[in-house]
Amino acid sequence: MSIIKMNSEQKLIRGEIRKFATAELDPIAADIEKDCRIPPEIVKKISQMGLFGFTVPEQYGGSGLNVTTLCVALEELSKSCASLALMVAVNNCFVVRSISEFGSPQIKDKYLKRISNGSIGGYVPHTETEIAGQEFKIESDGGETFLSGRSDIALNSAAADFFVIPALHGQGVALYIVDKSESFMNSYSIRTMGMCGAGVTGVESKRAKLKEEDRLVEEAKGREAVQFLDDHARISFSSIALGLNEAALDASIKYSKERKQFGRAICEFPMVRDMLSEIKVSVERSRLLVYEAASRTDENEDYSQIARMACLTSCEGAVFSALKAIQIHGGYGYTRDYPVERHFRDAKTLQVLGGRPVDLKSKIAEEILS
Amino acid sequence: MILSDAHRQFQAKVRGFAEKEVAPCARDLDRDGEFPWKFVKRLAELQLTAIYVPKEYGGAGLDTLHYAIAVEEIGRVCGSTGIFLAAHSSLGVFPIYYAGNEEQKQKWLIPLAKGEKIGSFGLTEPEAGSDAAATKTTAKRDGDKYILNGEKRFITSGSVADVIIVTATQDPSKGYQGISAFIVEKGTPGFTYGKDEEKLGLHGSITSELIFEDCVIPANNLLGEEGDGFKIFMETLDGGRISIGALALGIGQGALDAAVNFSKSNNKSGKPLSRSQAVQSMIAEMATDIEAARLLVYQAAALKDAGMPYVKEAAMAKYYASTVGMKAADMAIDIHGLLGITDAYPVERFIRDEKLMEIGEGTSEIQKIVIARQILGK
Repeated sequence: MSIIKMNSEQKLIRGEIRKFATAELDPIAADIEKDCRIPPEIVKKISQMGLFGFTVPEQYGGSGLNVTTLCVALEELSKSCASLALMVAVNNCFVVRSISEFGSPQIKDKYLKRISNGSIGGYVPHTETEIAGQEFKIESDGGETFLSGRSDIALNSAAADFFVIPALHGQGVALYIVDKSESFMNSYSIRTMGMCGAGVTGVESKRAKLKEEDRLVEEAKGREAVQFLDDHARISFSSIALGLNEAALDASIKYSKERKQFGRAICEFPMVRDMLSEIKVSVERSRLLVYEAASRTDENEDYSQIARMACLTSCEGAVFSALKAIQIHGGYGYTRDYPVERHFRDAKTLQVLGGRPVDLKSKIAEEILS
Repeated sequence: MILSDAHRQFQAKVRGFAEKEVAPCARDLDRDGEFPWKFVKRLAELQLTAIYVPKEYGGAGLDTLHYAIAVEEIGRVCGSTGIFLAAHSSLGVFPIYYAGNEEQKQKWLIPLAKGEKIGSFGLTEPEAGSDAAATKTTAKRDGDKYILNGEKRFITSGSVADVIIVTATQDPSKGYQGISAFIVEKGTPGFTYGKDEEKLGLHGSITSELIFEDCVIPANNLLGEEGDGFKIFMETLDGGRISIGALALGIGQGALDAAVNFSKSNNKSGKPLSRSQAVQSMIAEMATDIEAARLLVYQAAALKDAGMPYVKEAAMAKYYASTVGMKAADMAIDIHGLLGITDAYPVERFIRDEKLMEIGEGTSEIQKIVIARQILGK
């Protein structure tokens, strides 16, 4: 018997998402890539299905579901459109989570309800090992507080109408909620390699005024909060990676059975079988870690270490599997006629967003040594 | 491998061109999917379009090692321009240089070598990839003409080439022995193009479908004898592997250069990234891998120049350089962090471009078979 057990609600959600993805997402996968955006009506439908407010407590109008159920949904969504899964993950794990964990009752009432009504939030990643010049700073001036700076990478930034932002404040890092405005807006200086539909763009703040009541975390506790949110988000990122991993496997099985060279299907060649089996192992290994991490979260156990391991394994696995899938597809795999080149770009992008392998390993080592 | 003075001077010359002229345009070529016409002209002016072909046939009269160095240096800054050069020189020029008669050399080799015309090679078909001998394109002899029918796919520079070497079979029941190679000129009636591919990388390179429908060519366009096609394309691919190995090496080196450069930036705590032991470890690994790849590529080229067997070494060079090049590009992205997945830096382009080096002109799996056969015998 498998140690991963899905309850009936999770099975139902998985089935619904598969149905939706097959009918609405698979046919437009190529358009999403070409236009670098998910059509707003699709985002709206996902919103109506309650996915963006999946983990918002029911008292604020959300679905109040747990992390394991979120992972089931993300895994399934990611098989068809990882960009959409990333948007859902960011909203639930960075935005909703930061508000429900750190927000005042007023903030919760205001923003969680907004999310339940279809609003999407953005998040600006903050990593100490990243280069300088890509951060926000808070300055006080005549009793007022302002936000300045820019980041070329802001998650959900195209679709979001408000952002959760960690910003340097004195010696610490504070977290604020900021609405999109004339002084706080998107900048489109870069393109990302993958996750092209997720609207990852830059954001820029020209002395946007911050409201005291929109402060989520004070400067002394911000670094810890960022760490907490990163680890939390990593579980959902690893379930997206798991979905990509499976998509690469499915595409490779199908193609290697159909494609004939030297008078037989290429799945009969040992070198192809070797790659297929490696991808499969990667899927199963990732699945165990992802759902272990998710269930520890739901059972209120310490999950930070297992979340990092799940993210490390699952994202590395997704990159590996997508590259092998391209290899199995040969010249065809290098083209946009098949989904595997997208799986690779999405997987590598996701891996970096979830934390570089070096950083994750160093955190894992730090914790096992302490 | 210690290069001779002549090779080092040549390397410096190509590097200067690559850094000053090609590098500043590489990002836009990729972003806009623009074919590097301006560099085609410059490569010709610099006599880089047929480096190893003797001067009497319009080439630079240098050796394969010079050629490998040039592809490496161009690839270091721009994979798309690099693959154009490699495909033109190894796949367009070489078959005529290798198997053409004097008349064919005068007519086609000279303008190709001088870079006045663009060359390409039509081998791969929708159903004949790794199994290149399974070609379905047919050639029917009709008096002093041949009639070609069939389809080619994934042909580098196909729809921009003036001259294409096309393989076709006169008798599919004979397998590889039935294959011949023909010279087909752009604009020949019955020769049209399908779509150009949208690809993971190498956006500045054109990859085409070629369609032959009762395409009539003069019998004089046959390369070598009837049935020589297999020998010609095997020889072409053996040499081509050195150039793809060199390109894979160049792209890997480009990724290392970018990583070294980036690691001089400060992190949020004000310390250079290069101070981190993890970054140092990655840089050391990348540099060692790439140096080993360079030795393999240069060795394969030097063996070819010395007239010694080089098939195994060329396959090893391509296989190894593309494998470690992918690893280096991947690490380079990790060193860059969040900005590494954006087009603000070249490393995501390098990994997308490099992936083709594990596929084109024989996948890594085919290279392993070639290497094993050379070691174990057939």
